[in-house]
Amino acid sequence: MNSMHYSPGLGSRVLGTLLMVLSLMLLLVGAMVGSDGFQWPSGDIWHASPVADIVWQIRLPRTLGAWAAGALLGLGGAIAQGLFRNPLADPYLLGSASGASLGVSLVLALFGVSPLALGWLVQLGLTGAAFAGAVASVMLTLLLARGVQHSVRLLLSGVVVGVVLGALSSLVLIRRPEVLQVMQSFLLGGTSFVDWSGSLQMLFCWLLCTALAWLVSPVLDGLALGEATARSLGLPMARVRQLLVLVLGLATGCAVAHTGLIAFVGLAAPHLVRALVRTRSGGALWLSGLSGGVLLLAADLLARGLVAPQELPVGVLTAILGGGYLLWLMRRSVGGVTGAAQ
Amino acid sequence: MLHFAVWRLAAPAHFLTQMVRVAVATICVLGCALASATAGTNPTADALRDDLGHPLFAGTLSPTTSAPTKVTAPTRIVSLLPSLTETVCALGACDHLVGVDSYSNYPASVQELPRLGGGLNPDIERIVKLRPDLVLLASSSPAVTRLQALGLRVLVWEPQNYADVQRAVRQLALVLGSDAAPEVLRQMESGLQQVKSILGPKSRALRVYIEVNRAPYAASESSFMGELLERLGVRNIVPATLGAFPRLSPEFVVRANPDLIMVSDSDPQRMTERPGWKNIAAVKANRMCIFTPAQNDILVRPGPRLVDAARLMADCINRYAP
Amino acid sequence: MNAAANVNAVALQAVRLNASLGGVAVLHDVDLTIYAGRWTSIVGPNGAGKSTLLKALANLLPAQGEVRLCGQNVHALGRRQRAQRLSWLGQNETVADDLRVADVVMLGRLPHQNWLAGATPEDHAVVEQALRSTQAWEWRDRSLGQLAGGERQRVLLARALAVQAEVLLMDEPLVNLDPPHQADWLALVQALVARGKTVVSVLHEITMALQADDMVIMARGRVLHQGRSSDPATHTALSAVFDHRVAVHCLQGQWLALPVQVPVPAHATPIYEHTSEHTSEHSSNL
Repeated sequence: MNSMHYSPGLGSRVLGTLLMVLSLMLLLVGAMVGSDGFQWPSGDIWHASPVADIVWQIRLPRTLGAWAAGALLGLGGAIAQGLFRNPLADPYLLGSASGASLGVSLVLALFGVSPLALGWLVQLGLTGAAFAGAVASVMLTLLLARGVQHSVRLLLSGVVVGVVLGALSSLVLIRRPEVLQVMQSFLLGGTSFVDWSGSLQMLFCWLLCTALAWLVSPVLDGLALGEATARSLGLPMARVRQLLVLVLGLATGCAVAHTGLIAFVGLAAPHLVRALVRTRSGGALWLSGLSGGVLLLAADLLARGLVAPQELPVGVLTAILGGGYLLWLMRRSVGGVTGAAQ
Repeated sequence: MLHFAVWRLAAPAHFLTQMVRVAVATICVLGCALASATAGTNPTADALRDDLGHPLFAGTLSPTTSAPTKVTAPTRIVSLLPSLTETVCALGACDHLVGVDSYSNYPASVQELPRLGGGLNPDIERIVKLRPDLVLLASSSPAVTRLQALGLRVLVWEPQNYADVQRAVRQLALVLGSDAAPEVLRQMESGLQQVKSILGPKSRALRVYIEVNRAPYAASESSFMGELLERLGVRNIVPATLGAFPRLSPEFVVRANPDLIMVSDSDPQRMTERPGWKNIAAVKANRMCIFTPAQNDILVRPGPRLVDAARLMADCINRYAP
Repeated sequence: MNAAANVNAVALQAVRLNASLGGVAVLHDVDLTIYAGRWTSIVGPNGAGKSTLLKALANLLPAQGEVRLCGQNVHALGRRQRAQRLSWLGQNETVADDLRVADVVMLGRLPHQNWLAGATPEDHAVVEQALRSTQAWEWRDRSLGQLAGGERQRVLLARALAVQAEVLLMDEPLVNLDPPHQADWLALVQALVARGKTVVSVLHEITMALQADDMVIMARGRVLHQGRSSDPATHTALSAVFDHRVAVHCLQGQWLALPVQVPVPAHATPIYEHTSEHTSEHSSNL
């Protein structure tokens, strides 16, 4: 008999409250972590002063942005793991990371080449390019899989699209190697220049995507019983799966557009939730978002504060935090990583 | 070196690939930080060895004196580092070049030569087919041992600062059997002096921020550009203690409030759009120099054209601080 | 559907049903009638297409031909209505291990629940009743992954019961169940049928299948025989489909299927009776 031991259910409400309180605390700390490391705020921040500018214009928006991006990635991970019933699924599964990379590398490559392209390229910006690339790659995956009938086919198409677009992106980099430096900063991810509009966009996107996914979450519950059983329960599988894939693309694209490619948050956040509480998919979607936000924000604060005034790439810290947590989870449970059976 | 180090990072996202990518990135970031911290130090004080300690004249050293007994100047040279290509040409051996890497583009004559791939992944087969009697590489290139194992004569330099450039010029001149070294060095030195002299007095008060990558990565005092800037008597807001190319918090730049910004990287996003940056003196007064790719080549290659690099920076300074 | 009023009412009917899996035709022109308020078991050798037939009846895979539920074409029914009237329990469905038992059974109430509404008290009552009827109530708070095979199967059975559909389609419901629980399942099905429900089960335990009211015998994608399980013609067909390796006997009023023993030839002696002389003779022949 399986001897996996679960903690006696914290209850999703308790966990949700805890995560929100933690988020608020970290947001406050975020206002205090900057190029001098951690410092208590002086009274100056309340009237116009250089310090106030820094806190209100730089630190707070990027702190909020880090939380929102983490929330988007956490939601994406929960959707991906529920859709594919695979505990190793992450939000980049359907090729969105490679699509975003390709979009960014194309814009950078063209930007150097053609002054004519300058106008609308600047408008589009790297943010728009990353978003467009991510969403386009998800659409391409849907197209290739010819609908969402079979999870395995969808998964395979996602992998294929990811690999091919990644190769194209490499090709662009080889032809225009000066673009490599900028690509590197994008690939490692970061919140350096997230401003208020960016972070509010991400926050709004998170609320919208979670609400949409929550509305159709009974299908995710049904999927947990197996595809055929879910269909026998009268759930509108195909349409809802298409919707979920689009929501996944939207959420991931939004996060990647503003903060680049950040690994592990999408993978670890749903596991964290599953290990602490047992809840239906609807609740898990909200909680994964909250825990993703906390995870990424904590990593970002460390990235900013550890070697100030230098910054570590936040992707490195999310890997350490998220990967370390997963490792600890694996050692705790005898039967291996928790999650849906294959 | 930073650009070379993350060559393979554009990989498709997948669980394991992500791990590998992050691991590589960590190693690269730490490695680059480490390397740039030790940049500029001469790994060996011996004037007759290259940057990796290879003797310049293997097997021909006389046991009693350190001077080589017999020197045959190489006639078929392959250069896989742009700054070394330029050094070879500055020393008058341009005609002996039979192949260069794909980034070498100065002087114009080398553009006709066969292109042998990048410095990190040169086309080994084509190099061997050219039957060179000397191959010049960057110290960090992974092709060094491979080419040596194939029996080619390989010498490596990777100049990071002015001192390195001077040493490379002298040593390469020895190897090439050229006597142009003293003249080249003298011209470099006098050129730098001359460039400094055209700066106005207000330039001394300037504080400059040099950005090499939009992350943002800056060029500190210990980088090549930072060194040139120092020679020109202008201050860099990024101290040497942070390494040569630190990845900065944008806040740091806002606090430091530079008077002039030099950007050696084209960025579609305007600096005014970065949160909090519109308050920086340089941004407010639009005192920003954005270098073209061709100018960028000059700035990032520590080689014989460092006078041109200094001149580019001086022109920028003069434009905004006459 | 009031079975008592109309004994011959048809619950499910398949007309010229054809289905293929992965390009290979599995069902060939299947005509089938399942009567309401009765328990029908489907038997046949491996690869006969029994599971495929059940899935086709439940409209879970694309099939050519017609399937009618109480006279109505099953395609014409809405998804939700179909789910409320037809409950399907599959074989080897992979279920997430970290779900709570009570939550698993509650998912069976999805066809009756409003999309966004939570579980009503009626839903909770039905879940409790379903769990109790499969003797799984005491571990309603455990995760599915913590249960042994038989216990898990009983939970999945409870899930199928929670739908409270008038037609229950079950594919190999007895897998992993030990004899006492098999007997419980039998009692459960008979109680359901007594209440007017229709049960269709694919079973490879022939004896258990013979307890059903009707039997459908399949081989190689076709229905070979359909009739009452007490009918001698059914027994003959059953024996024939299994190459006469099975014989049906009556014991204390119940039908029993036993493998046909191949008689041991009279001249051969059992090995253990060899004396030592024969042993040495045999060993020299080796």
